[in-house]
Amino acid sequence: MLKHYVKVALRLIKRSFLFSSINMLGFVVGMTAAFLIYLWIVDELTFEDFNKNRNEIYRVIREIEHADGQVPSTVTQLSGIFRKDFPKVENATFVKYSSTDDFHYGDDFIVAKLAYVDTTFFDVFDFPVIAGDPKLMKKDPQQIVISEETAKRMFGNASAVGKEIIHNFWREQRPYKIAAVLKVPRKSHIQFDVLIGWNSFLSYNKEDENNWGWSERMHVYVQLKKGLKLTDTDRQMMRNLWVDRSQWGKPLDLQPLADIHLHTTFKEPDDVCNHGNMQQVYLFAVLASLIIFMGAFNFTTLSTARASQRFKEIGIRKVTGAKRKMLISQFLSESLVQAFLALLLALALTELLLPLFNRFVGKDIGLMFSWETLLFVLFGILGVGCLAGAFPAFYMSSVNPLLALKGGKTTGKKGALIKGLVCVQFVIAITMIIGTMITFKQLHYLQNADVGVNTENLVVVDVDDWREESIPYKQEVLKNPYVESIAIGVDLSDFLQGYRWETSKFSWQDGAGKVDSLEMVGLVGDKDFFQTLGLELLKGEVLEADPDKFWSGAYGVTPIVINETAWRMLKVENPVGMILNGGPFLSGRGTSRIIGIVKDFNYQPLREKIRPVFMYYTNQLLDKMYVKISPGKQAETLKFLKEKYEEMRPNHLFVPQLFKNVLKNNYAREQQLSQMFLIFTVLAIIVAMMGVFGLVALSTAQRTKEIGIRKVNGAHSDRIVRMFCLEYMRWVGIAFVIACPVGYLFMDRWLSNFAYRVAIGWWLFPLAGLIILSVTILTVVVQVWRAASRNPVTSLRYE
Amino acid sequence: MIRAINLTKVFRTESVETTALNGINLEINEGEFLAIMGPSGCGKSTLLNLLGLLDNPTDGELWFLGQEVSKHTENSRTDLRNGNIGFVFQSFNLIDELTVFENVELPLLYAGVSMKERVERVNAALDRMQIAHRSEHFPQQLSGGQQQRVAIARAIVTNPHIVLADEPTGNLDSVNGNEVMNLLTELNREGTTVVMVTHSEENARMAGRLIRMIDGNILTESRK
Repeated sequence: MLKHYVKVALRLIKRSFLFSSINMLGFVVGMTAAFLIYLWIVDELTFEDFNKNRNEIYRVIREIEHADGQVPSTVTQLSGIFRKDFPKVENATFVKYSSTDDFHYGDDFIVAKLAYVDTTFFDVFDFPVIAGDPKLMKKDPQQIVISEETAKRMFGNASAVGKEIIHNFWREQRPYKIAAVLKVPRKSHIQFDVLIGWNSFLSYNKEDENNWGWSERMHVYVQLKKGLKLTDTDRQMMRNLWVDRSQWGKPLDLQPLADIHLHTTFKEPDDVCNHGNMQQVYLFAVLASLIIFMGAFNFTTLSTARASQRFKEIGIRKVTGAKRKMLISQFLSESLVQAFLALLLALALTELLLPLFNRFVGKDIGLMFSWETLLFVLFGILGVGCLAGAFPAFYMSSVNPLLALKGGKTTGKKGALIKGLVCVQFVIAITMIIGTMITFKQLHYLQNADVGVNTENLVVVDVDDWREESIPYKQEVLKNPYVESIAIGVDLSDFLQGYRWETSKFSWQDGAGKVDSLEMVGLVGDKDFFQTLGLELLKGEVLEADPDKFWSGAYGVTPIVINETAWRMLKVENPVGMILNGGPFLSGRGTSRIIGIVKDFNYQPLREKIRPVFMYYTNQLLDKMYVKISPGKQAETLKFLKEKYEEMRPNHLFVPQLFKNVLKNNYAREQQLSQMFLIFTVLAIIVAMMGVFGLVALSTAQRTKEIGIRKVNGAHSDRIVRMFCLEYMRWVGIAFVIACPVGYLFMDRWLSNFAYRVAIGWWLFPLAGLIILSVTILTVVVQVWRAASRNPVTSLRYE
Repeated sequence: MIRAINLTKVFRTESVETTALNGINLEINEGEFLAIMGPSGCGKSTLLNLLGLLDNPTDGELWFLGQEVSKHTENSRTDLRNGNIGFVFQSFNLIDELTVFENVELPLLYAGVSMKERVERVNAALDRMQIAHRSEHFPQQLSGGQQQRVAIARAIVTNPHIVLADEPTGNLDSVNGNEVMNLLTELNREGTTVVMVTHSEENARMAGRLIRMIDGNILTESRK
């Protein structure tokens, strides 16, 4: 019997090739989209899976005072304590992220992201080894490990293992030997170019060995014994490990390694590349289901609409002894056969589209057969086939054999279902267009909004370990007529996370004599910082950048400039000249004096509300040089900057960045979201239009006689085309009315994630409706015109 | 074999009520060849459909092989039909996607007959209808006469007690029409009960018994 069903299904595809193709194409596009999303979701869910002990590894996080809750930075000493004091713990290790430094091999330079690691690092993590043996680092502090990409940059295709490279650190040249080349998987939250052993770091910085307060960019990991789980009691016992041992200590918690990518609720520091978001995973799962449904709806509507062409067959089968359930099985198997063929095509299409898709989403997903893929294939055929085939199967098999033999009858119910499903498709498509337009609008806003900083023609140069010695370079460069101004200060673009030492608490007595306090984020900049970045001074004066004065205490108190938000929160009418208790961490606290107020500017992504800021000067934290270049003189000025840099700082690479581009990178998540939205909206529109195409083709075929009679009675072709268009316009209209509030509510909720957001804009809605309407009318006109302009005599004879 | 008592069929639409059969009493015995004649719309096809268990009467009793079937569900009517009743239609009603062999095989497939037996019985039926050489062709590749022979082969492949034919020669030229009538007569001679609706007096004369209908009633009945 099954053979019979399959045979009939295949012959049916051959006989009505157009409809079967539309049916299957809907499936193919739907399944391809769903497959791509599925692969993306699997990829998101399998971060850190290269680690054999993925389920036993935890990251140590600590609580912080202000609202952000937690940060993953702790101290190196914890690693040894976890190893020693907890029998459940198999191992513990840490990573200390460092700056982006220059390395050279002979005359070749590269800039590489450096991190220091504990000797146990490679016992806990399993970064795939390309060449060499990373464990050599344990015994010999001079042995280091580099990433595959770094090896390529430095040595091309030649072997890197055993080669000696020089690390330019500060004014020192530190020689190292490459022990191994590793692959750093994209799905690792720990990303590095070069790893150096902590013992090597200590050999240069002995005083840091017992520093219980130095948690900057230091991440500790714990690995439990195989099969053991962390209990609440364990967490309680580990909670006060640090607090008990040091005045700098904070309560600790442990976060499973597998949760880092998607379930991190606090803001990650910049060192951790982590753009995962569980909400986005849910969102795309819903999108995938919607597109699959749309493909399935096409099948349902077309098969149901086509039922009348099969009534004779149904009648014959019933008369010759087929029971209803046999017919249901037959029709379901037809949809399963089509779903199966569509799946094969979808797999091929997915394979073809993957490189493009990967480029869009910044991944390197491959199509490999695993149990997940097989599961998807099974679900694809059974789920989609049954979903799509169920209604037509039940509908067609219910027809009375006598009526069926006479050609059946059309019932109102069937028409309502088809219209309903087409409407649902339109609703999905319009909602997705609205969603896409709003995400793009918001992205454009995020990337181009006036953040209160003049980002035009601003070049950023890394002076991280050059510090005040970069000042002669600054003076030299200023001689160039195209360099308008130069500032040195904090790394603004990376300033996303407030570490303990980057926020300070200030207190003062208010008018009533009560002590009030405010936590402010500290930003470092010299006196040119304000002018170069276009910060507007509202009151008072800018910082006088005099390092000698700063350190000699000539100011008496630390001069600070606050922002508008801080001014508001101080609740003082004119705070210029006001003395506050507290100050920047490096100045040893003491007191500070407000010397000026600057207009609010966004120094954090626009997802965040502007927090109170105090700006001060210290030569210890000069990370970046900001060079303002005359408009249109970028190329030659950059060349000049490079020449001077290489001349004044030999053996270092000059890596300038445009501040505008740096800012754009902050919105990688939004960019990815909007691009994925765009891809799947286009696919959804294609699927919906294929459905419309099929339905129109079918109704023109079924209404050939009607068209003929109308024409014989005087109707013009354009009138007939208009008649068909009006019918579909009504459906688009109904869908539009439903899609608008759905789209609005959905996108309004999404936008509420941002402290700064675009207005949704009423015109987006009619535009979305108009897009669907025009594509629909185009689809209808192209087809109906042919049928309507045919000679009525032929139409009637044909009928 | 079949007994109809006061058989009534009324078709209702929202505004119109049409009485197609108006209290028909009829008995058909095994081995009979019955022809039903009458003008268009007199209810003869409706009667044939009720006798063939394709539809339920609005009122009255219908006995088929000793069972009262007027209230049977579609599924149980299908069960009863299967293997007991064969149908031949004016417009042949072959499935275009199936070959001649597969069309004839269909009733056996639905009856759950094994493949080996199916092949034997289909080949036998095709041989009997002298169309075996066309078994791999599709219906559109055959002439009308050939198609009707395939339809008859399908009707008899289950060795039914009764074959119901609704204007079996209506779409055929006289040569092919005669051939089909000869086949039906031969079937009847071999013991199959045949009930045929026809417009042709000539065809009706070949039957052993003839009833004439008008407006849902039996007008006359005659036997050879």
